[in-house]
Amino acid sequence: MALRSTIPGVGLGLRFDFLDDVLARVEADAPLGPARFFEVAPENYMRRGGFVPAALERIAARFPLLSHGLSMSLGGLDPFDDAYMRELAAFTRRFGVPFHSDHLCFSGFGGRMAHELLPLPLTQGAAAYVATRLREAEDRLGLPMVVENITRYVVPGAPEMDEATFLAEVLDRSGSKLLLDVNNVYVNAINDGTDPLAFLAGIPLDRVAAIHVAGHEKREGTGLVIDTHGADVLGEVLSLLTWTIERTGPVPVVLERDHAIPPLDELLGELSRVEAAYQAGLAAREARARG
Amino acid sequence: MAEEEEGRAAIAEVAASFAAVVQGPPDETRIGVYRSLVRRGIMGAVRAQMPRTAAALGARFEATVEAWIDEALPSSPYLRDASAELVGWAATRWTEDPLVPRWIPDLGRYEVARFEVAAANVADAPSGGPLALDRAVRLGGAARVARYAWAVHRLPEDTPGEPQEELTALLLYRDRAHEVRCLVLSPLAAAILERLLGGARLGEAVTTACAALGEPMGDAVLRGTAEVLADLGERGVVLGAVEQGNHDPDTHAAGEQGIVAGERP
Repeated sequence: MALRSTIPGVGLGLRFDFLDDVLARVEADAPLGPARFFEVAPENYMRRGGFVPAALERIAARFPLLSHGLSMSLGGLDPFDDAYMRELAAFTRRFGVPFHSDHLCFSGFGGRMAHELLPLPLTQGAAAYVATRLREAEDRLGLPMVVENITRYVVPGAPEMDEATFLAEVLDRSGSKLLLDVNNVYVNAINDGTDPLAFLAGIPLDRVAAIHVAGHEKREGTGLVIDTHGADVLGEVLSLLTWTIERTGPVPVVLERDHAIPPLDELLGELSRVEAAYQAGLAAREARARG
Repeated sequence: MAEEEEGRAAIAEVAASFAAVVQGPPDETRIGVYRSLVRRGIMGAVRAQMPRTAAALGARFEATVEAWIDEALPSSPYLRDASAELVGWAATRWTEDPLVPRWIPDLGRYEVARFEVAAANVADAPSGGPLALDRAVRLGGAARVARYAWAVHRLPEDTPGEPQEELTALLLYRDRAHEVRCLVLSPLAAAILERLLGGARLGEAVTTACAALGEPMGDAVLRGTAEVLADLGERGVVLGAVEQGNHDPDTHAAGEQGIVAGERP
């Protein structure tokens, strides 16, 4: 399914922690830094009344929204939840989002939800299965699906291919586009001791529909870097963003922050750093085009 | 299709290994990180919706959530439903545990109910019809009657305390500014409102409520009911009469089905 027009520039993942602050600025027609749009997790607004959806309506009157889900469990074996899919379709229609994204993972088993992004086995069969589910989701939503690469702390099962190949396989089979999380690429590379640029070079960058950036933290005791979205974006991750934008051209770039969220002005300052890296990528692309 | 079947089989195998880790004992290997991530995510969500229950129970609250995850995990795709699922699972266990204060199940249910009212997905369009004994009453504000054996609604917000043991009926509703409000109901008012919420006609609700409580049905009851309904009208709870010929016992039940718990009130 082809993407409708999308939103270039940088935006912020909208969270309850600063929903009131954003709303106050929207109501006052006050500036919100370089934010050109907000990305929302529809599960936080669907099947819901009261303050939260009312606030979103008012924000959406001024800013376009992107829809990024948490609970579809694209690679899960349980059938899609019918009521959830209906609500999601209504939500995406209501806000006219250009696509809906969710993660290349499964989130539950046996009718139960872990509410976590669990990695899939890197096999041809799993790629075929997820691709079918992506097409089913598109049909049910009447909207293009975009799939995000996840952070994973193990490679489960008996892999038949590397992760970049698996991702490309899913995109090829489904026809879907990619939400490329460059922080996830970086975290996986650090935890595996590999080169994040090698991963990026191995995926079809022409399929990137949007990009995520975030911060991460080293968790004591595990020796692992964990994708907490609880710290500032590392310079190395911003460099990956610039490198990617140089190759993809303008796509929406979302800053995600879920923990240790600073005051809104500080967060918008962080978004300005992301904007600078984004513009550097566009400038490099232009320079390259000029030869 | 054969390829997809192979994919399903591979995913099933992986899912089983994750289920064993997530619902099993602590694991220091890399896959064990997922046990910690799942538990941290769910714990954070339920603690946010039930802060007073969590504070009152202390470490026992965490132990309850851990035991629930060991046995069940949430079933809803909405993380905000997890606290209602937890209370449904834990209430009997808390009641049977001599180390848990007897009022904890009521406090848990009360906190969840407030979230559910705050986030209920109901439309509050006034019907415009004048109230009449032979009509059902359209109720808005995600109103619900909640009954407790302990006066948990009187517990202070930020300081520890124990509620009085006292049969309590509350009307929980959401006002026009989206704030959750709580009214203490008399037994008769609670009985009438429960019937109205169930879709009964006004006259029938009053008559059967009086009969159930052994109250004589007279002018005083009718006058008192009118005063309560007028007050609730000003609060945006009573929206008018259900249109003639549109008496639908499921009217309010259908609204209740949309009720959800939320991360914020």
